[in-house]
Amino acid sequence: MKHRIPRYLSAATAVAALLTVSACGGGSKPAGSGGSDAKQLEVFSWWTSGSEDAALKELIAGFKKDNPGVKVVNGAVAGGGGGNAQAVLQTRLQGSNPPDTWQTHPGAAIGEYINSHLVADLSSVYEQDSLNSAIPRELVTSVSKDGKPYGVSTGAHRGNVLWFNKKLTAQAGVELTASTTPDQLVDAFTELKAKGITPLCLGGKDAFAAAELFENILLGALGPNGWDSLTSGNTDWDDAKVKQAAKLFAKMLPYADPDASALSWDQATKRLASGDCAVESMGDWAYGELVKDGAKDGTDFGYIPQPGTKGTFVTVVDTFVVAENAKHKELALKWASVISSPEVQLAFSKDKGSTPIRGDVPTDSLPAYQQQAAKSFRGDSLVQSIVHGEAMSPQFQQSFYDAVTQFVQSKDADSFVQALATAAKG
Amino acid sequence: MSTARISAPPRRRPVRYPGTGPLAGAVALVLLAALFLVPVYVLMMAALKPPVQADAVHMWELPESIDFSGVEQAWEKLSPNVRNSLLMVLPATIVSSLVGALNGFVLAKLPFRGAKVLFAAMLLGMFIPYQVILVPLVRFLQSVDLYGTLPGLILVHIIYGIPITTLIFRNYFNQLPHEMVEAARVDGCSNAAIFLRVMLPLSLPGFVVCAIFQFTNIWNDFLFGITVVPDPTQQPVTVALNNLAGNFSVQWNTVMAGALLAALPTALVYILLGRFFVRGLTAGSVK
Amino acid sequence: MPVLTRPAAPAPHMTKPPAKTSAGSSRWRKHRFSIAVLTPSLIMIGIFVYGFIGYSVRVSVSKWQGLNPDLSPRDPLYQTYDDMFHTPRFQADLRNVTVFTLLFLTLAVVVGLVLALLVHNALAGRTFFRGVFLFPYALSFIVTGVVWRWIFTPSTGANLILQGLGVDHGPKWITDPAVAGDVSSALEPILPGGHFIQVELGVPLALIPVVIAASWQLGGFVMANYLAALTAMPEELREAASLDGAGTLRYHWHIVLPWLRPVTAVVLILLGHISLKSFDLVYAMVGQGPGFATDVPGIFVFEQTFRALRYNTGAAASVVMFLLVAAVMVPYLYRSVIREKN
Repeated sequence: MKHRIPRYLSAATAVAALLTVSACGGGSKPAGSGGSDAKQLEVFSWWTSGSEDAALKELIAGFKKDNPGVKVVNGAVAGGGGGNAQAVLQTRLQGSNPPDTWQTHPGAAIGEYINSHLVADLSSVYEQDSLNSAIPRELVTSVSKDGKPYGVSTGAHRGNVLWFNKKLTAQAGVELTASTTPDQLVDAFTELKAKGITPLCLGGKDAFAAAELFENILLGALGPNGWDSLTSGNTDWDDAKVKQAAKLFAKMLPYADPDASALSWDQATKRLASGDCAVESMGDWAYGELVKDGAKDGTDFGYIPQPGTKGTFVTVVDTFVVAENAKHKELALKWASVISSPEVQLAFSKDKGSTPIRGDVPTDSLPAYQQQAAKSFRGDSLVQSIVHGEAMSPQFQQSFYDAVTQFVQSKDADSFVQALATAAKG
Repeated sequence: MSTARISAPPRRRPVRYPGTGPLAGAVALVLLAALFLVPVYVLMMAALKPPVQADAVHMWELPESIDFSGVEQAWEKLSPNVRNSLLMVLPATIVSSLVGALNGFVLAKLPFRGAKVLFAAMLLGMFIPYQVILVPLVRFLQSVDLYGTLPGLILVHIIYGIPITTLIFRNYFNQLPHEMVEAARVDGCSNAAIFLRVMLPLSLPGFVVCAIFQFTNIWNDFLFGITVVPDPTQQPVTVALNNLAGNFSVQWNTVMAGALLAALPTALVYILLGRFFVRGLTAGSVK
Repeated sequence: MPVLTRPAAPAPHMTKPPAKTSAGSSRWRKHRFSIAVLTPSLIMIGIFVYGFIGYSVRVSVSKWQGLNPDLSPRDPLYQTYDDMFHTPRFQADLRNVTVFTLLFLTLAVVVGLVLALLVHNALAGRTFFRGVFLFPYALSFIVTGVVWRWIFTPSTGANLILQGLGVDHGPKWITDPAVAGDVSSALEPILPGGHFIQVELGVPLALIPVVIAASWQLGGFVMANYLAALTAMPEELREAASLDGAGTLRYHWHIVLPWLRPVTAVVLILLGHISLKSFDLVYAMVGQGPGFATDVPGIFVFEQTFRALRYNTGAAASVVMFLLVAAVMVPYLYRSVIREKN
C-alpha cells in the first residue's frame, strides 16, 4: 500500500490546490455589513427599469437637493409582478426590520400596514406642507384612518383606459369614441374579426391583465356608485349586475388573441403597436410602452375610457409610507415632505407617465395624453381598483385573480359570481 | 497483505464500446448539440440586438445591426454584484462540499446503528419549500446577528446544501470498495487519515459533480439572496439580474445580455472542473 | 457468464477493534470521528429544517392572515387544509406537480443518459460537447423561462420553423388549455363524494413545453452525474465483457446500466427536489397558465403568503408539499435501507 500513497497525495494536492486557489478569492475579505449610518435613508420599491427607475430617481434627486450629504439606499426589487418585492417587504416587516420608507397603494393595501401599526402618522407632514388643500379629498381619505394620514401619494395612474390601433380600426371601418357603449364594442370586435384582424389584445400570462379587463367591464356595468356599493360590501357579489358583467366578459373573450396566455401585458401592448391586434383594456402605464415601441399618439393609436366608464377614473396611485420604527425616521419624514412637493411631483409624473396628485401642479408641460388624463382626474368621479389592491383586501384581490383565471376557461358565470361572493365573505 | 489487491493492472488494450462505430455517435452528438443550442441562439441574438428588435416577434432573426448597448448596460448594472456573488459562492460551495464529503464518508464507510435513519432524516430536509421558511429564517438570523450580512447568506446556503452534498458523496463513496477502508485500517490509519489519504483523493469526480451542483444552485439562487441581504450593494448578481426587468417596461436585450454575463462564471467553472471527468482517473486503484 | 454480474461484494472479514477497557469507552472511541463529523450537520438540519417545518405546521393551523402574526388556533384545527383542498386551483396544482414530476424525471434522465454515453464514448471533442450540454444549466431560470416562452408562443415561435418544414397548424403549446386523458369522469362513480374533484385529471398539454424546457436546463447536469459514474467505472468490467465477447447492447444492458443504477437514484432525488419546488422557471415561462394548466404549488405558496397575506394557507400548502414528498421518499428510503444490507 505504502508505495501508492504518493500518487494519492499528488491527487489530493491537486484537489487542495484547486480548493485553495478558489478560496483565496473567497473567504479572505469579510463582507462589510451596512451599519446604521445616521446619514442614510433606505427607500424600498418595485421600480427597477426604464421609466419607473427614472421616476424614482427624480424623487431621490429632489430629496438629495434638500438633504445633501445623505446617502439614499435604493432597495428596489423587481419581478414576479411585484411579488418578489412583497415577499421581501413582508419578511422584513415580520422580522421587525423595515425599510425607512416603502411604496404601496392607498385603500386596503395601506390599510394592512396602518392596522398593524407598522407605519407612521404623517399628520405633521400634511400640516407643514398644507397637503390637505392641495390633494383631492378622496385621496387623502384613502390613505387615512381616524382622520390621520399615513401615506403620501406622488402620482395617479388611470386603470380604465381602452387603447386601440387607429390603422386597424380605420381598416375595419370601426369608430371608437368616448360614447361607445359596451355592446357597440362587442359589435366592433365582430367587424374587426370579419376583416381578419385579431380584435382584442390580452397579456394573459400575467394574471392581472384579464382581471383588469373584467374590472373595467364590471365598472361599466355598475357605474361609480354601484362600484362603491359593491366594494364596500353593501351590494353582494352574486348580484345580477355582476353576473351581467361576467356574461359580457365571456362574450368578449373569444375575440382575444389566441396567443394571449403566452403573452405578458407589455408584449400584448407591443402587438397593439405593431398592428397584430386592435384593442386593449389596460391601465395608462401602457402609454409609455406604446411610445417606447415607436407608436405615435393620435396617428398610430388612440384611447378612450373603457366603454361604459366615461366620467369615472379608476385610480392606481403610487404612495409612500414611513415605517413607525424606522431607523432614520427624521429623514424619512423629510422624504415624505419632498416627494409631495409640486416640482418633484411634476418631474416624477413626466417619467412615470402618471398624473400629479396635487391640483396645483401645472400640467401643460406633459404629453397630450397625460394632460387629458389630468383633466379627467380633476373632474371625474374617482374609484379605487380591486386588481391593484386598493378597493378590497389582499385576500379578496387574490381570490379575484383566481376566479377570473378560472372563468376565462370555464365561462361559467354562476360559479364565477359564487366564488367571488364566497371570497368576499372571507 | 493488501499489496496484491492494489498492484498495477496488467496492461491490456481495452476494446472500445459501443461497437456501433464512431460515426453514428458523432452524428448523434452534433445533432443533439445543435438542438440544445437553439434557445442559446435566441438568447445570444436577443442580447446583441437593438432594444426594439429584441422581442418574441424577431426572435429567429439575426440582429439588423450588432448593438452592444444591452451588454454595456447589463455590465454596468451587474458588475458590482458579481464580486458579492463570488464572495458568497466560493466559500459556500467549498464548505458545503467538504461537509458533504465528510458526512458521506461516515455514512457510507463507517456504519453505525441508526446511521441510515439519520441519513434519511437529513435527506428529507432538502424537500422543504423555501418560500415558507423565509420568515422564521430571517428571525433566526437576526437573533444570531447575521441578518443582512454575506456570512449569514453563506451560512444559509451551506446548511441547505448539506442534505444534497451528503447524498452525492454517500452515494459516491458507496461505489468505492469497502476493502480499501479495511486495508487502510489494517495499515494503521485512523478514520480521519483514511478519509484524507484514501477517500478524498479518489473522490475527485464526486467533487466535480457536487461542486457543479452547489456552485450553480448557489450562484443562481435568488430568493435567499434577496431576503437575507437587503442592501443592494451587498446583494448577489442574480438579484441585480432580476432587477433588469421591471414591472412596467423591460428591455429584453439588456436582460438577455445580463443572463449571459451572469452565467459566465458558472460556465467557467464547468470548463475548469470538466477536465476532471477523465476516464480511468481511478482505474488501477479501484479494485 | 459470471463476470457479467456486479462486482463481488466485499469479503466479510471484519477486523475486530482492539479490545479496550470498558465497552462504553471503546464504542466512543470507535465512533468519535463519526459523531464529531455528523453532530454539527444534524444540529443545523434540526433547526433549519425540522424546527422551521414545525413552525410552518403551527402557522398552518392558526388564524394568521394579514400582517399581524396571529397564532391562535383555528376551530377545527384542520379548517385551513379543508378549505384549501376544496379550491379548484390547489387541486389543479397537485395534479400538475404530479404530472410534471413524472414527465420531467423521465425525460431528463433519458436525455442525460444518452448524452453521457455519447460524450463518454466520443472519440473527439468531449470537452466541447460536455460544455455545450452543461451550459444551459449555468443560465438563470428567470431568463431562460422567457426565452422558452418566446419559443412556445404559437404565432411567433417554434411553429414558424414547423411551417418551414411543412406543418401548417402547429400545436398550441403553452396556450393550450386542454387536458389529455382525463380520468376524473371515470373516477366520479367510484370515488365517494366525486364532486370533490373540480379539475380534469389528466395531462395538461400546456405543461409539456415546460417539461421540455426543464429537461433542457437539467439534462446536462444529469449527464455530468452519469459521466462521473462512468469515469469511476473499473476498466476490468469493460475488459471482462469484451473478453467474453459481449456485444454493445449486451454490454450496456448488463454492465453499464446496473453500474449506473445508484447514480440514477441520486439523480432522481435531486431532480425530484427541483421539480417539486419548481417555481422560478414556471413563473417566468408560463405563470399559472390557461385555467391553471401550468400552475404549481410553489407559485400557490408564494402568492398566498406574500400577495394574499394568507400566511396560514401558504404554510398549509407547503406542509402538504412536504408530506407528499415524504410519502414518496420515506418508503423509498426504507426500502433502500433494507436492500443495501448485502
